[in-house]
Amino acid sequence: MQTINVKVNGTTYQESVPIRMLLVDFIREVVGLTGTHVSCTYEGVCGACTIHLNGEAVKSCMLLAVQADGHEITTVEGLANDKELSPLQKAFNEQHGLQCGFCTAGVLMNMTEFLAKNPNPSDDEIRHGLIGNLCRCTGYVHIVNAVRAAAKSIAN
Amino acid sequence: MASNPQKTNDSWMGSRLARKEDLRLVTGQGKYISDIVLPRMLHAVFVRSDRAHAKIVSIDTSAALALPGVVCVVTGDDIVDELRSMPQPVLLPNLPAKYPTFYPLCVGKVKFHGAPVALVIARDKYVAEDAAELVEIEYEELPVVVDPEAALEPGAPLINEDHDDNEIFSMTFTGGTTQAEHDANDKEVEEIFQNADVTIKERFRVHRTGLTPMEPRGVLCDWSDSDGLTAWITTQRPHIDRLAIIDLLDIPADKVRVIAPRDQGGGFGVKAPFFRENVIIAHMARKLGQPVRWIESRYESLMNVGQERDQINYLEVAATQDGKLLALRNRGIADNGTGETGVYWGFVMPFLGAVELPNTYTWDKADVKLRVAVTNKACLTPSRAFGHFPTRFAIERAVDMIAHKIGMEPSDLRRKNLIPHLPYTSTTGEYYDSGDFVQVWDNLMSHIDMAKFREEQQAARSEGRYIGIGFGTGVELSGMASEVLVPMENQPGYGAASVRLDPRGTALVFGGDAPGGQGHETSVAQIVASAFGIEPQDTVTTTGDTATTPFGSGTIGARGASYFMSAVHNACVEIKVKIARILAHDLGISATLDDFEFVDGQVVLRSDRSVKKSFRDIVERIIMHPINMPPGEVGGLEATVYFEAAKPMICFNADFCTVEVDIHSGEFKITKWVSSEDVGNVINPLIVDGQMHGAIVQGLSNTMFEEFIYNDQGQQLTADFENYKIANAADMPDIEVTYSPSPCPHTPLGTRGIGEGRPSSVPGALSNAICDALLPFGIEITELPLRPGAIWKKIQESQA
Amino acid sequence: MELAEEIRINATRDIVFAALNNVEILKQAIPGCEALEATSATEFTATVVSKIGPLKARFTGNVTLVDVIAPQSYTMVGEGKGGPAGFAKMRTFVHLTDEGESTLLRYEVKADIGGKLAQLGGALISSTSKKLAGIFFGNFEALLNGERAIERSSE
Repeated sequence: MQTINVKVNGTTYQESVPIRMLLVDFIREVVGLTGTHVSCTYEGVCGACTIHLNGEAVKSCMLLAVQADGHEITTVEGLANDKELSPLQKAFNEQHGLQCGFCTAGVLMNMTEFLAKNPNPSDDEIRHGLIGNLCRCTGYVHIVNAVRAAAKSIAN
Repeated sequence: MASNPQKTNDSWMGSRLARKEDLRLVTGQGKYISDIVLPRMLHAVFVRSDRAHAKIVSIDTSAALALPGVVCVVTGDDIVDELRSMPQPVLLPNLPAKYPTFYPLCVGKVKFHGAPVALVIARDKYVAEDAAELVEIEYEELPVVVDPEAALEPGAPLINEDHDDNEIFSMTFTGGTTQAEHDANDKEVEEIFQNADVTIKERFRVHRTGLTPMEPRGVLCDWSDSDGLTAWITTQRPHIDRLAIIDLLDIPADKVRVIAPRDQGGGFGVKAPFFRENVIIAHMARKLGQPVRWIESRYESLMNVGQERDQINYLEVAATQDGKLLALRNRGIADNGTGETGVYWGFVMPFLGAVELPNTYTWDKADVKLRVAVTNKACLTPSRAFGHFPTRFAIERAVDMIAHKIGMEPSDLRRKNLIPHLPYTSTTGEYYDSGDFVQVWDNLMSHIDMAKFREEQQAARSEGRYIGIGFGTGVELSGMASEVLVPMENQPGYGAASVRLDPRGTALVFGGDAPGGQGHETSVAQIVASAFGIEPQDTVTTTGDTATTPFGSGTIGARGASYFMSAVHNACVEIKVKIARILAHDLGISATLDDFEFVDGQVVLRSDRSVKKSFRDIVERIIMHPINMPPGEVGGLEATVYFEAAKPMICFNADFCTVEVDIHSGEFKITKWVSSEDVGNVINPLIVDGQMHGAIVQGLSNTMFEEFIYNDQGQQLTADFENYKIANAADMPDIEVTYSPSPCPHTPLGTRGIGEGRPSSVPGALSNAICDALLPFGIEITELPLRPGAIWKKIQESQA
Repeated sequence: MELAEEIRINATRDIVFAALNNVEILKQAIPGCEALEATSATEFTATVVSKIGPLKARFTGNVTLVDVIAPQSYTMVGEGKGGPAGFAKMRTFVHLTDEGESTLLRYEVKADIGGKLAQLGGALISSTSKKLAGIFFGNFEALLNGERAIERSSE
């Protein structure tokens, strides 16, 4: 066991965790934020567990909880600003960018970072930006629409 | 981009309303099975077979049990006397088959790589996983059967030893019911083939692939001696699961409650069967008196479920020189896997695939037969385009091959042979209730100028570029009527809904089906809002809880907009009749429902619009102040309605796509995909668009990438997303969905259920486009998946 | 996976065949071999650590010599269980021919792997087997010449 200090969505958690605990399990089971999902079961392929570590999108199944010691994490629960949905969250709703919602948290976290770096992306860039996120329901069309619409809305 | 309009023609029907579900899902507030945690909850991990076919000689659980935190380790022998074996009647179709007997954990032998042999239960998830690795199993290997045709050979090693061969199911679908009738029919078909201008005969092979929801399966069971069992299961059919658990565990019916979590990460058919894992988790929760949860890993999921298609169809088609299709003859062989899954047993999918073989075309005669073989593989699991993904690939390819032979445009040949008028009964006996295939087709063709495309194609070829266009059509079951579902799955087809009004004027809707992303909460709210003249936010829908919802056969087979939504609407109407009667009584007038309009939160008298009452007030009056009522009337506003259409229903689509093939590598790019849909009256076009996009991309992903591979030892080699590749966003084209709807005459709102069979026209359309591009090479694709290497090889062979 | 190779060993056929039945030499020659014990003249128990693809597994199992025709040929049949990693099965036919003072050793290996090993290491089984066989016979020859085994592990 090791004691770690991790700031999650602005709140600091000091917890004692097993060395081998995955960061995604720490977020879901210790902190209790279950919006971050596990789909490929710790292969780093599906992207459902994507979070921000110090502002950078990472797959939380590929890290140990102890590696997050002293760092800041944002999860999907931290995207909305005081209950006001982010432009991307709003766009996913308006453009029907999700169906079952299981991959959505990871898509939102990845695309939030993507739009910060690419404020005016082409559809092709959006599609390539989404390679690390598997979605089984939407066929990606509405996801691409939502990211494009969010980019526009942020620009305005 | 169009913004979301609020209402269409004063009704929420047809509005592109943003979904109600989304707020919780985009903020991480969804409640999926793995988010549900109970006090004292234990964690279960299965130990699964690493052999495909072997006797279990011994199982040593001592090292696992010795690990601190482990509560118990159970094997098949431990539970064989504690619960009933499958099958149980509730899980049996009314179809003649050789059903295997099995238990939730393997007893005596294992029949596929991935079969559950033991179950470890521990207080901690990580400890349970550690302990599972310490269970030592000694096997004695048996001959492995992985080829369905070899499995059906006389003398093949037996997989289910209680039967005398590996044929789980066989059927003749055409000509009648007796052998004499079949023989006479087959003779007539043979005569057509003998005299036909043109025939084709091919072996069409579709590999093992299917659907993989992003959320794997899971079960959480809680037991109390007073209330019995509460089971949260990722399932599309909680009511059926409940009956199965009652029968398998012999628990009194009033003591079993099954809840499909409100949020489920996709189903696509994969969560429709009754699985052996449900039984053992429920049993152990009862035995231990403590909650037990199993969350499936992706590895387990890819080893056990989501495997479908896997058919060989020896298909022959006869036609005239001018392109009239005459007859088809098919000998289907399906690879069932072990058959150890409740409700479907593997073969029900190829059964429906054979029924749907004639598709949208008219045939004078058909001779369709199917044999289904048990093999040492995971049992087939239903996957969207249930059973007919392979048969439709075969028929759509065959149509193009005929066209190529007689030198006719494949699109012209299709239009010539589309069923011109509905209703129609297909040569395999499937009833097509309504719609206009030709109109949907013509709508599709209005999106492409064929003459211009052929010119461009010629010009491109002269530059060494190969572009092509391909077509596909699909007729789908729109929900399944009882007259279809009772024989096929031993379950009713009706839709059921309870609508209850609250004294504050809002609506609660309860449905027994269990959606996994289809947007039922939004569609229901639009129907209720339209019916009562209230806002969509004033309706809350509860699904999937057997304690609070009327019986439903599940979220399967596109029965949402056909059956469930129709029941919701009819329940609203029943309540409105009562409101109208009481309001007329209160107003002292003689009036019925037709005399009132429910609009903008008011109930308005049509003949004098100044006479009205707020919806909330009249609802509160009826529920809370049931005095001075009309004779015989009592308070309360609630209705439970069961809806069964007069006839089984269908929906219909046609697709085209264009491709460009690089003949030097065999790689291809889809440059356009357009669909034309008859989905009946649309409740929410945004949701229907999403269903179509998803289904088409699932079809493409199955066609191009996904493949479950077993080696000759029955080792399943594709149990992770690195080796079982699913299409990502960059792999896929944009998709244009267009509509040419005809209202369904058999539903109260003219709606049709959609989406289930939708991937089925995809493999044909894409393969046809590639063959069209490569027409100068004379290439006819007869096997999936469509890999660039295989295409390149065909190009090389054609040039040799 | 099937593999067939020939190597020339600088020793007589009798010496080579004897060595092929010598537990100590086999133990030192087999890459990753932690234990090898004879339970009869033709039966052994073995513990071998092996790495196939990303997976490292400790195999425990039995090796049996069948169709023994001294000093010419035998077939070595082995099966090892690697716990959660899966299992490996191997059947090796070894045939010796005189070539003057040296011996031509021909071997044919048929190997199958199962479980996670097959899923994660399947693509590498052929190259891994080839490498392991090469190490084994390299060691074997060195030991026969009175040298120490060169490589002891498969990594």
